[in-house]
Amino acid sequence: MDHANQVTRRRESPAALDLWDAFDDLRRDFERSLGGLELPSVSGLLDWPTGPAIDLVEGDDEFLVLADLPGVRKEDLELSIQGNLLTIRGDKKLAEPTTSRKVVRTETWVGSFSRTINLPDTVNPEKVEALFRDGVLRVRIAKREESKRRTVQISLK
Amino acid sequence: MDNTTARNERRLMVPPVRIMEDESEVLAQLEMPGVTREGLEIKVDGNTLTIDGKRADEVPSARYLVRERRHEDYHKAFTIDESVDRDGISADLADGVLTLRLKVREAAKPRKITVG
Repeated sequence: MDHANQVTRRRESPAALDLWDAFDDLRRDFERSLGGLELPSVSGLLDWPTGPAIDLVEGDDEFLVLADLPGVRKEDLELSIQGNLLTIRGDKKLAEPTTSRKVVRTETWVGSFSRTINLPDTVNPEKVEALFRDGVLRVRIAKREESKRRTVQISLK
Repeated sequence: MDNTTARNERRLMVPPVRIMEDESEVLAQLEMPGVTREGLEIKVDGNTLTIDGKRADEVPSARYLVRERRHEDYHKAFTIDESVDRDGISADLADGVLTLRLKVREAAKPRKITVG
């Protein structure tokens, strides 16, 4: 595949070689200090993932939290709620063993992650429902009864 | 030509990929959260392997308090060379990850030559 060529091409320039090696060493030290988290090789030094990207959506009766967690198995995912703090924690593991294979390109990452989301105060932590499908986690948290938006029909006399 | 115009109208994102290979196959894993089997289209046209994935997880008329996720559909094209068996491509979608297996043609595999 041609992508492999693109990754190696910049290394063919002798002048740039030392500089990139220095960056790679730095990155390896950085990864080691994080406890073996594997960072994508094409990303910049600072845009490594700390947790999944989320959306928080407000509905009439509930809040919906969506998180992209591709490649995470259900059994490796842990959810908890304390008051209005929702924590998504998990471990993303390699799906295929790499021992006999040569890794040509890595833009994805594996490792553990944790994210705590500060939900609005109007949530009811007793009524939470979670669904994990197609690599997307959906957590529905009901609103407290008193904070639900209601339309009251007013009869005209 | 038509294809290019249509692509410009909709914003697409390139899914992150992990590619591994051994002597008999190339394995590509593409992270495409939100894509279902129905929304996935994989095509081989000459030397180009294209993958299109439509997200099926949109929340209609949503009021976003936080919006960090990407919402674009996915598009990725690979150039495959002659060593890849066009009839030996298989795909599997699980947990938002598409795994493609591309078999290497028999003739392209390394052969051991024993000295008689």
